[in-house]
Amino acid sequence: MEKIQILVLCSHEEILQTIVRLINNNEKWNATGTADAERAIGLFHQHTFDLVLLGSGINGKDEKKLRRIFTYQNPEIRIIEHFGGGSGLLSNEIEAALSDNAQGNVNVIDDPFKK
Amino acid sequence: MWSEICDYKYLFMANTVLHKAATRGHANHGWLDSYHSFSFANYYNPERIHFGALRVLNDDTVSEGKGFGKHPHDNMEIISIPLQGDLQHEDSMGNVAVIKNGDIQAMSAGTGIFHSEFNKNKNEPVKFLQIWIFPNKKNVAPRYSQVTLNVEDRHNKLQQVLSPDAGDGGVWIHQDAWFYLGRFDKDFSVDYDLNKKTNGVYVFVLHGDVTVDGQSLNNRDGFGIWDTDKISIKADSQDAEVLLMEVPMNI
Repeated sequence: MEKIQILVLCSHEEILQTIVRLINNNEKWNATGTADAERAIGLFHQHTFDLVLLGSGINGKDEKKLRRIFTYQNPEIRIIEHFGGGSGLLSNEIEAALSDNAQGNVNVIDDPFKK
Repeated sequence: MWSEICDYKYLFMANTVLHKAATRGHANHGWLDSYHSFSFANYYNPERIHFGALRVLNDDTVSEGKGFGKHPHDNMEIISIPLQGDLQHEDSMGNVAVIKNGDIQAMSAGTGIFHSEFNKNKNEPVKFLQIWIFPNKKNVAPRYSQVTLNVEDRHNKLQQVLSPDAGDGGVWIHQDAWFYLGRFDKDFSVDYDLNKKTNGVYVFVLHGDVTVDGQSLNNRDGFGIWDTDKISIKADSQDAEVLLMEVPMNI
């Protein structure tokens, strides 16, 4: 069975490592992590991802740019924000996003800061 | 006259959601017995993800001497309310503190912190509520605060324990949220006026029985109300205790 490929971007190195480790604890998921926005764009060009997970430390300008680039390259890509830094919310957020992908729905909490 | 045939309250009906205590998620790890009002860890219920900005309400009991080891958080306002026993907190900002009943702890995780929480005592469990609120501003500088409140000041009144304003009562967080605690004599009643019209209120019963806007609630029930500017609370048992959490519904 092919694993769900998840690209994780988080500028806090220790938290990034925690998130990647927790995701990879699930045998159905595989996480690729980076703390650098430009490297995230490069990885997205080189590999196929099912989900992009944005952690802490990404400024609003970079986030808009990333969302635009990722969506342009793959209009179906699911981009979610992770809150809590590898906490009890992580699995929930991924499950919800994958479920919404399957149903073709829009997740209302994918960007809690949007106006 | 229109005003005579149409009651105002029927034109502007509040929305509500009821979470009975027994329907909460539950995880017993031995050292940790936790009830989740909203989806958390292995408990996933798409109908119970959040109530506006309120994302996590965990009702935790940690065994003697046990606790949560060092773990990270980011971009979340984290509030701990001890109900019984002593909870020791240590974090990557250098804070070491013990909180107990009467204290309120708030932490803005912002760009990222690591912390641990342990039951300081070897002879009794610690019981506390862990509450996570989505912040209204991302990537803020991490921050820790705690206050000690006089629990007598919540007898037959609502004692403010949290707000968005550093100069106001209780702790403050990066969100337009207000929390109150109250302990009521039987048949005592009080109205609560929301601070913001676009907010909702989630009432969590800490002890006893209460009626909120006509809805009977028992120990550990949760009741969310929005699209209203006022709620009424009545104690149906002696020493009924409630936690009111007013939070933005649009996040």
